[in-house]
Amino acid sequence: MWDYYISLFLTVVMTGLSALLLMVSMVSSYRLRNVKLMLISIAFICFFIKGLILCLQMLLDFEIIRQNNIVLVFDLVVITALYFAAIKD
Amino acid sequence: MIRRKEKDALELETRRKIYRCITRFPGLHERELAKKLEMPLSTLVYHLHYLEKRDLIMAKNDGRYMRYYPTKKIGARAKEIMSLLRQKMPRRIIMFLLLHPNAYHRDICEEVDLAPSTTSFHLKKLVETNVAKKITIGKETMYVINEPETVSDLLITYKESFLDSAVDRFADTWLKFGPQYIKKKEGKKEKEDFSNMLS
Repeated sequence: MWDYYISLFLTVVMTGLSALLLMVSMVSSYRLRNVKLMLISIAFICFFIKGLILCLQMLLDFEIIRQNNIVLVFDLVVITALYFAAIKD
Repeated sequence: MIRRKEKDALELETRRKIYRCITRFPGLHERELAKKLEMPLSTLVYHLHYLEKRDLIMAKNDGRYMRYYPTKKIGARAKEIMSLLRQKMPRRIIMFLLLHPNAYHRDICEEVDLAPSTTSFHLKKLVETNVAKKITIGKETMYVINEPETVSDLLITYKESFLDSAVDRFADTWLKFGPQYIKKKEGKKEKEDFSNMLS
């Protein structure tokens, strides 16, 4: 039971923080019209969606992400966006 | 000339203080405002007239006192300028250009402590939005603010929010994260090491 609450708490915190960072990154990329910041926004969108899905999955007790592959795809998109953001001048 | 610039900067700060006080406590009368701001009444009256003339605040007589309220009229053009004022670097450049009209590109670089290419990036935005004008004389480029009065009025109403500072810090951090910036840092370090060796 404790495991469930700890996981839920961590997922909610992760989703909340990624939502905050998503808002800041989107405002930054909108104001500066910068590709690098846009890529970072994409990474935070993925973080946020992933967190949201995991939260819903835990709260509704319903398997939205059945396969581990989907989580890996989200992580791959995040890493790719951050990689291109880092190498972009 | 320098004294005039110092006076302009001080006046801008004083007007911002007064404007903020009126937006925070709308309906205060002159004496209450003077007491709150710890400012001589004559100075306050002079700035209140300035702000009223520019439609930033309005005065209403309640039969006994003249009370002051913010007007909050912001048009499309003002919103465009405001979006630039919300960004730290363009705001610093604008403030510098207001106090030093016809400043050269290198002077602006020195003032904002940025690389010439980054300064050019921000200046280009100012020119594209018609906030500043570019004047080229030979190899040198000068910049001047197009509507200094409108921009300085907006600087009075501008107030940095939590989101603005967060966005500034976020953009600063991520834009510095890249191979070009690291190369520049390494170049600087090498120069420093070389000058240390020489000395």
